[in-house]
Amino acid sequence: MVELSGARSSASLSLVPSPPDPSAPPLEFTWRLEGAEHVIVTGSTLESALSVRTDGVRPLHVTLTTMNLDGGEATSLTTIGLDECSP
Amino acid sequence: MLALRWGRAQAVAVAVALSWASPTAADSGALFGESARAASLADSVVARPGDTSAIYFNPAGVADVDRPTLVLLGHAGNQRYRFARFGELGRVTDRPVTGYGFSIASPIPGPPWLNRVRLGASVQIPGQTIIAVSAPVRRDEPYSFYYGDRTERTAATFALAVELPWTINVGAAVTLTPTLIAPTDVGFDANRGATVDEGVFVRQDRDLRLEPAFIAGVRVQPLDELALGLVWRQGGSTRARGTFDVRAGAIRVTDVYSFNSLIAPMELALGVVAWPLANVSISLDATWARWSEFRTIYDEAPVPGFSDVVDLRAAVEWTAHRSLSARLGYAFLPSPAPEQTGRQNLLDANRHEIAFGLGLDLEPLTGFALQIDLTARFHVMEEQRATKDPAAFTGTIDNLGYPGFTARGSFEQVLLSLVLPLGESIRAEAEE
Repeated sequence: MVELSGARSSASLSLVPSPPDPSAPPLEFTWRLEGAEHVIVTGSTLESALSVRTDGVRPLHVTLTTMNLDGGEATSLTTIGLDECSP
Repeated sequence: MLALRWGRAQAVAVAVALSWASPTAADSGALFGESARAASLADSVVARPGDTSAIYFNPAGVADVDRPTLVLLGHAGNQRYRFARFGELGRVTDRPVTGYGFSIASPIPGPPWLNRVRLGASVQIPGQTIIAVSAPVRRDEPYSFYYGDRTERTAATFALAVELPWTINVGAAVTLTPTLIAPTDVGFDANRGATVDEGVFVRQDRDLRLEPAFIAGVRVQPLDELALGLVWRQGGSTRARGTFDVRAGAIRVTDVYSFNSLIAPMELALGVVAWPLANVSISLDATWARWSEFRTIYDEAPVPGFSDVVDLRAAVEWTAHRSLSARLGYAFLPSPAPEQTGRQNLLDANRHEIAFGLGLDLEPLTGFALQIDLTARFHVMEEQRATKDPAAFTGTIDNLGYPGFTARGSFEQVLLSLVLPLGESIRAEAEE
């Protein structure tokens, strides 16, 4: 099970990591999951967080696109990789 | 994606800087920015009597331009790629390709010996930005090096050609390509504001430099029905490089970045053209391209390495009427990239180019010296297939192409050129 969360996304660009402004307008979230076979257990690809169960046969590529009220977009890609393991 | 782009405002300044001497373009050296006639002949023009497209393809051909000629050109197209890992639907990406430019070539007026010297110049400016160097944040990002940012490149080429006795023409040209230098200085001053963000300052300098790449060629026409051409093109890259100097109190971190965006590999091209009928010409070009020296956008050698290739181009031009020409071109462009079994996912495969074109010369019909060339060009790529070698990966496997992928690309383009003779034939004047 993999927990994915975009809760630390900020509506404005920050040069240093900082928590989002709680008074800022909400962001829109779009998740794209590619690679490994997977099932979304909780949440959805349009919510800020979701949990995914994957078969672990191949890497799972997770792309999060956030959009603020002004239409500004930011996209981030991360991969949940496979570790070598002994048979 | 880290992208360094120059916008329209800077474009004007640079365009002026590039064109102050006099204009011409691939004709200029920019990918897909050549004249519509050359495109309709699949660029099989190394041995053909020159028009302004010879400025880049074989500057010796410029010596065949016997009257001052201005060419205005524009093109619009779309490049598409489909990428899919094994067992997935994958995704399709489209990228518009537009640009415009102008070329000029002319004999030098004066005594007859000086009439044998021709000058040419060509400039092409992309429709979006004058220079784009995009480097994916992840080095395993699927990336088309053949198209990529090559379609968004300003280029200018200046040529000199001489008409020698015995139907021998020689020519040389220099293509100027932009390189972007952008040092960046990041610091922190706690007195600048109330928050951490307000205390950070960023200073970025930008310097656009033009670097030369040389071309030399010869064209010989021993018979009325046969001509040969040979040309060497140095090729080159647009580079974007700079330094990061980050300071915060006593902590200082410096870094260097260097991106290398290919314009063209070094090439040696041999062409032949024959006229089996007075109004039909057939040409065949073979171009050796030194892709083995290719370096990726990160200025690294690809692993596994590339191979040199030989491109084959052929074309037929039929002058159906003194005012109307029809053209057909085909090129086989083999891929220099081996199967992508390692960490990189460079997208490429053998490519077939097909082009059709029409040329309408209004001068015989109306007396107004204007030629209109219209071309449609297509690239069809064979399917690329790559199976990753697990031995190439150690530790965590997170490669974007794992366990393997298929990819296929295409390219469609329409080109329009307006050819405007600006004066009488120097050669005709000499004969009179």
